[in-house]
Amino acid sequence: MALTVLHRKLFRDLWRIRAQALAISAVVALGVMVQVMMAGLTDTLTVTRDAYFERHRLAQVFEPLTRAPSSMMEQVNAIPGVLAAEGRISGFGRIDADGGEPVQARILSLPGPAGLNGILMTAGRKPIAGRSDEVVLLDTFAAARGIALGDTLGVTVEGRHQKLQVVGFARAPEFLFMPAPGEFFPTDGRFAVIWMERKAAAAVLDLDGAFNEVLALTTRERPRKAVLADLDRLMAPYGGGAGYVQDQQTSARFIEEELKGLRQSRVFLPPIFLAVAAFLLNVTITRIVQAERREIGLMKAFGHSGAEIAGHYLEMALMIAFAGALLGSALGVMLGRSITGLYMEFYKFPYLVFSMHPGPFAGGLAFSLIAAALGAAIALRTVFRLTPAEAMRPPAPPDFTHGRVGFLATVTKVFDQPGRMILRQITRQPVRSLGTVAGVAAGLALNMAMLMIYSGFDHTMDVTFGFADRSDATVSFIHPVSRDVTHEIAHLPGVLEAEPTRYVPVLFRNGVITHRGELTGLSEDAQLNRALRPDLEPIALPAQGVVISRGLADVLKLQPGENLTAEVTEGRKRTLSLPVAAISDTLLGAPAYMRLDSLTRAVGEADRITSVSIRTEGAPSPELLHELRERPKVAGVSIKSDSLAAFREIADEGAGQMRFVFGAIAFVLSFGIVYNAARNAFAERAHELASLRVLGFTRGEVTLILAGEITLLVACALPVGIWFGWTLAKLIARVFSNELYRVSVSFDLPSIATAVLVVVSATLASILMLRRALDRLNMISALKARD
Amino acid sequence: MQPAFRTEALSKTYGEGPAAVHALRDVTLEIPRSEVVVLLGPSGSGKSTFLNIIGGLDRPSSGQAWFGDQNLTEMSDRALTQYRRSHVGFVFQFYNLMPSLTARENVDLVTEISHDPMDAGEALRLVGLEERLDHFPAQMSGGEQQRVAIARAIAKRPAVLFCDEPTGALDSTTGRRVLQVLNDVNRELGTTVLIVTHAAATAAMAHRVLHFTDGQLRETIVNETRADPAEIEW
Ligand SMILES: Nc1ncnc2c1ncn2[C@@H]1O[C@H](COP(=O)(O)OP(=O)(O)OP(=O)(O)O)[C@@H](O)[C@H]1O
Ligand SMILES: [Mg+2]
Repeated sequence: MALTVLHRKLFRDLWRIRAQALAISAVVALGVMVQVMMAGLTDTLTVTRDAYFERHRLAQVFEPLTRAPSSMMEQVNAIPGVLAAEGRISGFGRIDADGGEPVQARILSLPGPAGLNGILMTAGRKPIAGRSDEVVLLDTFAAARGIALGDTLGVTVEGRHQKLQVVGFARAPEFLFMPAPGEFFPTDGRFAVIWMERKAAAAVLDLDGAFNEVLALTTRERPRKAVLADLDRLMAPYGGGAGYVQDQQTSARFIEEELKGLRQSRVFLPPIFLAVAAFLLNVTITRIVQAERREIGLMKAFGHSGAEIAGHYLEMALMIAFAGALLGSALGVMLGRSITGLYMEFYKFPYLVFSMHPGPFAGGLAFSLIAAALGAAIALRTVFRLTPAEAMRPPAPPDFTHGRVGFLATVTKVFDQPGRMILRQITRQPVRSLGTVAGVAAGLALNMAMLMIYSGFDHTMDVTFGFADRSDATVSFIHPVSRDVTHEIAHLPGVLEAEPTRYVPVLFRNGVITHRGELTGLSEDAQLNRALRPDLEPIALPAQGVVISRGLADVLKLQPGENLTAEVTEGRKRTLSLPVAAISDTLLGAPAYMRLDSLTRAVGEADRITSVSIRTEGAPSPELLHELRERPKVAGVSIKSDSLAAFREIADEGAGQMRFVFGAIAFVLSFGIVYNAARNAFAERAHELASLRVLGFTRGEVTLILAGEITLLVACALPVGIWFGWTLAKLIARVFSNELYRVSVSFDLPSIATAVLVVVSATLASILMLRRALDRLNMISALKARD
Repeated sequence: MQPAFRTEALSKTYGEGPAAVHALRDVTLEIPRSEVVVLLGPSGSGKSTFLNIIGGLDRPSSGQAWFGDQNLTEMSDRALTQYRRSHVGFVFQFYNLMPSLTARENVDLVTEISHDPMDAGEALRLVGLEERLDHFPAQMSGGEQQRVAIARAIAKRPAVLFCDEPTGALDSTTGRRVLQVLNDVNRELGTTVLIVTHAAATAAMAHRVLHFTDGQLRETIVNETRADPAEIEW
C-alpha cells in the first residue's frame, strides 16, 4: 500500500519538476548520444575498413622496385612468413583531357591470380584478354570528370601517346584516401588510377617479363617487419630496399589516424556529460529533500525505514537518467548514421558494414544510471540522518552568519541589499556554486575548443596556400629533368614566375626511428615555395644542411644542430647525413627543405628537378595547358585553386555538421545547467521572492535578483571556460597532430565569441523561462505556509 | 476627512458551480484614517482574503475597493506594485524575513526603494532592537524576528500597516510586546493599522473591531475606550 502511494508521489513530483527533469535528462542524453554515436562511428568505420581490406586482400607488405625479372617471384614466395605474393606493374601516365589540365594517373596491372590489392568493380567489366586498349578507371575520377563507360581516354605513358577505352569502373582499398602526387588533399577529379591487363601494362611501361612492385600478405607466425626486412634484402639489387608495411600506406594511414582521433574523443567526452548530470541530480535532489524534510520525518514516524525513503528519491534520479539514456541512444543512432554517411563519402568506401554493438548502449545506460545514483546518493545522506522529531520541527532559517567575516564582509558592503542577497546565496553554497561554474565552463570549453580546431584548420590552409606555397600551379615530371626546363616553362604564355623543385624520396632515420618521406630541394631565391618561421617570415635555406618541418622534427625527435640521416630510396642509393639548421613551421606534410644545388650534389646527380612551380596571370590559360600537354615529359599539372576548392567543399560539409552538433551540445549543456540552477534557486526561494513582491518589488526587480545569482555564476564561468577551452584546444591539437598534418590553434576571437554567445543565449533562454514562472508566482499561496 | 479605505459589495469566489467557495460576500465598509482596526472571526471567515485585497495582493471577483480616492480594483499589476511599494506595510505570521540579510539589511531592503524612508537604525530602535542591528534572522528569536518584520514594514512610513496574525507564532508576553509596538506606531506616526487575529482579547486595544463570519461583515464595534496592549490578557 505504502509503496503505491510513494509511487504516486514519485510521478506527481516528477511532473511538478518536469522542466527541470527534462533539462537533466537532456544532459544525460547528450553523454549517451556522444557515446553511442562515437561507438557506432568507430565500430562501423573499423569493421567496414577491415572487411574492405580483407575482402580485397590489401597487401600487408609493399616493396617498390625499379625492375625485377618475373622469375624472382619464386624467391619472394619462399621468404618465411609470406602467405601470398604478387609482382605487379606500377607506373605513371598522363591523362590528357581536351582543354583541361593534364592529370597524372597511376597505371597498374590488374590483380593477378593471388588477388592481392584487389579491386571492386562498380560498373562495366574488366578488359577482355588480349585487348590491350581496354582499361578499368577509378570510378570517383570518372564521376568527377564526367567520363562514361565506352569513352576513349588519351593517355601519355613514357612519352608515347595511347588511346585507351574505358570498359569498367572500380574502387580499391588501396585508394580510399589518396591525394594526387605532390598534393595534400584528395580530390576526386585530380586523382586517377588506370588498371590494365598485365601484358598491356608491361608493354606501355617497358616491363615485359618483369615487375616493379612486390605485394605480399604475411602469415601470423612472422612479424610483417621481419618479412619486409627479408624482402628488402632480396630486392635490393633490383632497386628495392625501401619497402613498407600496410600501416605506412597512405590510405590505410589516414583512416587509422582518423579512427585514433574518434577513439580518443569517445573516451573523454561522455564522462563530462555524465559528471554534469550527476551534479545536477545531486543539487536537485538535495533541494527536494530539504523542502520535504517534514514529509520525510512523517514517513519515518509512520515506520518507513531510511532506506525505503531514500529509495524513493533514488528512483526519481534513476528515472530521469533512464529517460535521458533512452533519448540519447535514439539520438546517437540517428546522428551516428548521418555522420557515418559523411565519412563513407569522404573516404570512398564502396559499401558500409553498419555495426552497432549492444555494448555502447548497455554501457551508456549503465554509466548514466551509475552517475545518477552517485549524484543522488550524496544528496540522500540527509535522509538517513534526519530523525523524525528533527524533521517535524519548523526549519530554522538558513544560517548566513559565516559570511560576515573577512574579505566577503568587505566586498558585500559595496552592494545594495539585493546584491548582498545574491552574493551571500552564492557563497553559502560554495560547492554548488563551483559546480555550476565548472559545468557551464565545461560546455563553453568543449564548444570553443571544437570551433578553434576548425578555425585552426582554416588557418592551416591559409598559411600553407597563402604564405608557404604561393604558386598557382605545379608542373610535375615523370622522371627528373634538366633544371633548364624551368626557363622554358617561364616563357610559356601567361607564366609570370617559374621555380624549380627537386623531390628525392628517402627514408629518414634518427637512431631507431624511421620515417618515409622526401627531401625537397628549392632554389636559393625561392619565392613561390618557402620554409616559414612561426611568424610567417621565410627562412633562408643554408648552403649546407636542411631545414626540417616541425612535424618531421617531432616524429624523429630532432633538434636544430643535430644530424638527420636520409637514405635515398631511388636511383643510386646513398646515405646522407645532414645537419639540421632550423625548424620550419610547416603545417601540412612533413617536408625537409634543402638548397637545390646542395641536394643534387649530395645525391650525386647533375642539376635535375622533378617539378616546376609557376605563378600565372589569372588562372592558367587553355593555351598554357595546351603547351604543357605537348611536352611528353610532363606528368601532370595541378592547379591549386581547383584542388583547394574541391577539398574545401567536402571538408566544410563535414565541419559544418560537426560545428552544428557541438554548438547544439554546448547550448543544451549550458541551458541544462543554468536552467537547473535558476529553477532550484527559484524553488528554494519562492517564499522570499513572494515576500519581495509583497514589499513592493516589481516583477522585473525580482527577476533580476533571481537572475543575478545565475548571471554572476555564468559570468565567473566565462573566463574559466575560455581558459579551459584554450587549454583543451591546445591539447586536442597536440594529440591530433601527426606527420601528415599539424592542427594549429590560435587564440581565435571569433571562436571564443561564438562559444560565449551560445552560453549567453542559453542563460537568457533560461532566465526568460524563469520569468514566466515568476509571473505565475502566487504571492498569497507562497505566504500562506512556510515551504 | 476621507476614510483610509472604502469598499462596496466586495466579493471573492474561488471555483465555480456547486464547488464554489465564497470567501467574501458583499462586504461594504469604511475604515477611517489613523485608527487601529482589529479583524476577528472564525477560521475560514474571509479575514485574510479581505486584507489581501485591500493590501493590493489579490483581486476581488466583484465589487470595488478604494484607498483614499484611488480605486484599487481598477489598478494594473504595475500600479498595485507601486501602491504596495509606497503606501503599504505588511507583517505576517511567519515573519518572512530574508535569511541572507541582517536585521538592518532587511529593513534597508525596503528603505532603498522608498521615498523619504526613516533610517533603518531608527526603525529598529522603534521596535526595541537597537542592540541586534547586525544579526541574521537565524540568530534571533521568533518575537525578535517579528519585530524586525514590523520595523521593515514601518520604515518607509506607510499610510497603512496590514498585520495578518502577527502574534500567531508567539507566546503571550512576546505577543504583547509586538502589539505594543504596533500601538506605538499608530500613535507616533499616525499609521492606520489593520490587525487580523484569533485572540479576541486583542480587540480591546482597537479603535474599531470588524467581525467576519462566513465571508460577511457581521458587526462593527467602535470602542469608547481602548486598553493598553500591555494589559491585554489571553
Ligand atoms: N486559493 C484558494 N482556493 C480556494 N479556496 C480558498 C483559497 N484561498 C482561500 N480559500 C477559501 O476562502 C475562505 C476564506 O479564507 P481566508 O484565508 O480568507 O480565511 P481566514 O478568515 O483568514 O481564516 P484563518 O483564520 O484560518 O486564517 C476559506 O473557506 C478558504 O478555504
Ligand atoms: Mg487567515
